[in-house]
Amino acid sequence: MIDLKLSDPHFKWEIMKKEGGEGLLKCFGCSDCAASCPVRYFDERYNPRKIIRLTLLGMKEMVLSSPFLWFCAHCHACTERCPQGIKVAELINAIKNYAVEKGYCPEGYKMQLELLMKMGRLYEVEDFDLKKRQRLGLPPIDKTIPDVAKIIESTHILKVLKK
Amino acid sequence: MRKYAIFLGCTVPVRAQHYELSARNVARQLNIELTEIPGASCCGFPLKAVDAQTALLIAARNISLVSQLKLDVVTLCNSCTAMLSDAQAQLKNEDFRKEFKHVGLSYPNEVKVRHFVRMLYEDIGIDEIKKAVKNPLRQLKIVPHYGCHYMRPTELYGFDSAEVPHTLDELVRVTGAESLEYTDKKMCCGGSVLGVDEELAITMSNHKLSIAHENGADAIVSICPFCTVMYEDNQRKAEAKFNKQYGIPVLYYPQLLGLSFGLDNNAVGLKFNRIKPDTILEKSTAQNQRSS
Amino acid sequence: MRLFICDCRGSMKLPKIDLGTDVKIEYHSNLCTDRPQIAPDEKVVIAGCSPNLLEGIFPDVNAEFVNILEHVSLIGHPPEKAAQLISAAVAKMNVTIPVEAKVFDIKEKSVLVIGGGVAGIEVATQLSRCGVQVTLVEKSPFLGGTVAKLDRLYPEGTPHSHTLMPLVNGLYSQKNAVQLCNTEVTSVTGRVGNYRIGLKTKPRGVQECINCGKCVDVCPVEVSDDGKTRKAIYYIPTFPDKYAIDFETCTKCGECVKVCPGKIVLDEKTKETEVGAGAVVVATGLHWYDVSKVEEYGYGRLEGVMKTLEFERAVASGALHPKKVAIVYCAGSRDSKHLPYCSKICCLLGLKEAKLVTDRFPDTEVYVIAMDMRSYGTFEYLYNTLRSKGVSFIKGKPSEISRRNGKLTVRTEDLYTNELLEIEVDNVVLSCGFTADTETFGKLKIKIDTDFPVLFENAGLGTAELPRGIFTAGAATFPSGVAETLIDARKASFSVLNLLQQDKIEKRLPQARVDEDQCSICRMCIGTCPYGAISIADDKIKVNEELCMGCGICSVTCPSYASQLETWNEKGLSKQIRSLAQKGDILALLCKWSAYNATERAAYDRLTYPKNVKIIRVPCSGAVDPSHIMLALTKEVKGVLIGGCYPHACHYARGNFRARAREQILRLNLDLLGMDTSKIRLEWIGKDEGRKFTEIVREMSK
Repeated sequence: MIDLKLSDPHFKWEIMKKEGGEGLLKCFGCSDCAASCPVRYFDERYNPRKIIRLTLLGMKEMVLSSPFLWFCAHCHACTERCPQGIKVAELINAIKNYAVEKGYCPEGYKMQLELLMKMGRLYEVEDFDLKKRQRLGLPPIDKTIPDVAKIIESTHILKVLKK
Repeated sequence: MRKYAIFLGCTVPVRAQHYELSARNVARQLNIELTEIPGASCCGFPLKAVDAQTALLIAARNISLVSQLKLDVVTLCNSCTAMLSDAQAQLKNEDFRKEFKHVGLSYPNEVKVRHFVRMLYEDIGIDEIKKAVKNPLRQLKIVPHYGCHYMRPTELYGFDSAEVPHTLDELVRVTGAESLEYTDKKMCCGGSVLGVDEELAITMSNHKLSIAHENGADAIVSICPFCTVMYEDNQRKAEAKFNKQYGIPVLYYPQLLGLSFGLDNNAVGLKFNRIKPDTILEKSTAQNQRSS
Repeated sequence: MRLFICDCRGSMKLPKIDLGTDVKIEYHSNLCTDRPQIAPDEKVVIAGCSPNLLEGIFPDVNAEFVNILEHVSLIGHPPEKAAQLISAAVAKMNVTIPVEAKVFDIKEKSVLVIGGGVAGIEVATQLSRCGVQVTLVEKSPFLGGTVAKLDRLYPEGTPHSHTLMPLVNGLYSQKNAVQLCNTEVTSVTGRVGNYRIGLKTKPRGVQECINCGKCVDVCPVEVSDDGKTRKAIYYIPTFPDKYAIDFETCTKCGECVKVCPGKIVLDEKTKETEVGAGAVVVATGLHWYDVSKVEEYGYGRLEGVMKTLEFERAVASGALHPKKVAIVYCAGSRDSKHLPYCSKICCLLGLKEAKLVTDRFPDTEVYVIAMDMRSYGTFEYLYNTLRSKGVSFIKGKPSEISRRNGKLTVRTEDLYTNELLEIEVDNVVLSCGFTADTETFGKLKIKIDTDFPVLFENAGLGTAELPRGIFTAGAATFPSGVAETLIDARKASFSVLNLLQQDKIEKRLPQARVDEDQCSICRMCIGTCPYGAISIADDKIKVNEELCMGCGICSVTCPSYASQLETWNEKGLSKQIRSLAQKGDILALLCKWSAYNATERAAYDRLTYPKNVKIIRVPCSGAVDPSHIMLALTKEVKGVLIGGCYPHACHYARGNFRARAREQILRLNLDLLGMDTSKIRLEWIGKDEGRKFTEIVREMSK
């Protein structure tokens, strides 16, 4: 049941402020997004329309704590079809970003952040890789790119995650 | 001679060298020069779900590096294309530009971001490519897989068609191979869900594998390392989960194109393909012998 | 000068005003119901409520209106502010150029009706019955329009002929009406009361005909025509009662000529003629949206996907007997990428198709997939009937129509059950929407985008009456069913009659006037006029008073102040600003179509703002002269706000874009002079955006 006693009327406005969240209020609930969604096709626990509707209703905890929020593959099938021109995938991403701020960041993403902090790339480049590249006649690549850590430090994200 | 900067991203230079190798060799055949981007990092996409702003800044840093080279950039990975294109578009936004300058970045020259394959289609063109095809792969049946961020979102790219994509089909057909018409062509590989729910991701990749199998495809052609991870590296898992035997090779498009140019197996890195493309080799060599 | 001050039934505290002996002050309590006598040549200032209301009460008076209700009283500002506003208006009125009524003779008493569907037929019949000479042009070879193509009409499913044939016969019995089929309008010149219209009549091929139909038997060319197949020579049972050749597909093989007992001519020439008319009625009917643009629905790509009209005709002709059908609603409608609006009748067309197919083939399974069912009014009974016939309704917007395992498949979510749903069918019927007839409106120089003209307010004129004696009737006004079309056609007929009854009409729209002594003939105004109303003849700049809509853009462009807008001339405005602007004020120059109305909206919502915000009403943000902004700055105002319509919503084509360009240039100049540019602000404020207006001026006063 959706118990609107628990609704937070500010929730939708906070999502509207996030990068990608701008289109939220345009939703008229046609469900083209859910019908277009490849994830939803295989797993009905994920439903972009439901996430958007619950967000509009202010059901903050229900939306943010749901593990299924993270099922969005960001494939943009929904974005293409939304008749209201909402960038649905970006909207879901905005809700994810907001969830991170509220302490709901999945461990996998934290690990990726650590890797990028450490190396500026997702996979470690070992000597073996460099040799292999050389053997194939491919140009050398940097093992680490420290500038990436500097950029991450310049934003609020590390502070948010430490909380 | 056309000149582009090449953005490799994280996966390609370490996990998919055969993609890079074949792309570079194909480019050479087409008189394209690819220039390295000193200091290039991850595109930023892995952080988008955590914080879009941070991800955009990392992407914008890479754009900034390209901008210093006064070149347009091509990428080999769909997600990198999306992330860099997004940042490039954001650079028109005043607020973002401010933040961009704040971290010490500059954007002296306009940069066009495109996928390597899109560049082949737009700048070289089917007709020019056709001239370089010396070994038409006439017996091959190919399932082309576009992946999500090659033509979607339309608003960002304005290229091909999000609903009825055709450019990769045309590029496959120019190699002489047959490009199969099949259902759910635009289906996502499931790669983005892999870290969240492996079962679901495998179910998603299985969908196209089974369709390719039913259609009697000799190979799936991919243009994104993530999609290849799902269709090639995880094919065994899909086979085990759904009790099927697929054994469908997954080729990167430049590998297929390289073969049609008559490049040898090593030049397109065929030995690195996890599922051995024996049928492909047989059919393409058979073709060779007949034509010689 | 007379000054009327109305205290709105005693609701306002009035200020003490003394403007000398030249101004005679008259106090009123209800100007809106107790209108004083004012001579047409008198100069008056009327202070009271909104000029939007007062202009309607005093349409024939040279008045400057002062809004002391919405701009003072309602928002709790002191009466002294009212006194300031009034004296500024008096200062302006002293030097204003009064509006001169323009007189248009209604010379031509005949009417041209474009379109021979039910709307055009009805207008032509009604008017000719009243003694008006009517020329009806229809571009196809037969009258009847869309209705003649339909099998049945909703809601009851009566055959189209039961409605159409009496109408057509009614028209043919009129002596005053001329029907020209195969005819298109090529050009329109002139003005209300005196139009010249160029017409082009394409050959029909069949000159004498006894309706034997032998020609059709021998014609080798098959043409697909909205779900039916016909030959290149064909007939549809309306009027004229003669076969016709479709020369776009005809190969001129001559077989028909051989068998025809009448007379067929294959090399007839196109005829060009010209007619005069006092008024033009656009009755061009329904224009289907090109639904192939909704790529995911596969129209034109997937076999079996058809439009409602095609489906109806195919079922009626017996060519189609589907076992299972899905009728998909809102195909491209209410969609920001296609038609952003609701076309109103497609829900009913979809229901009609469902009814036709279930009535004819009770075994056919019918699924209607609609995100919303808008069976408005009593059409709800049709919806009820269909549920009782066992038609299945699915709530949702299909994401994709594709061919799966050889079967046409619709994928949607069913919002009633919250489940993903896939359905395999023989046919998908797309109930798609309709667009405005931009082509015809273009020929009439009426600029519209994809939306319908009725959705736009046309400067100074009502909705049914487009500028300059051009009327719309039926689905050209907005998509409508047959009954509504006929009602609209009768309304349009009445409006036309009303116009033609008059020998002349007067229009009191402020208009640009050029002072020959000051004009240097630099021609800048010619290019800047959005209506092409300014031209040069005999080394003199001329304003075509029928075309001028009174935006005032030319007067700002004119470097020598030669071009001046009535009521809003440069001198008047500068007097008003000089009198009104004081140190520390916020001066708001607001477009009368948008931002000005927002200030009234703010008053109704009792949204207050500082009393030093002074509002001046201008015809368009593009008519704000940078020199007036400079003038305000020299009076040491705290800020100047220019408020205009949102981009693409300008009532004078592109006035707001001009305002933006001027603002930028002014900023640059101020910057060069070392002056503060932060005082100037240009904002798009919609007419209902009272809150936005108050927030902006509050911010500016900080």
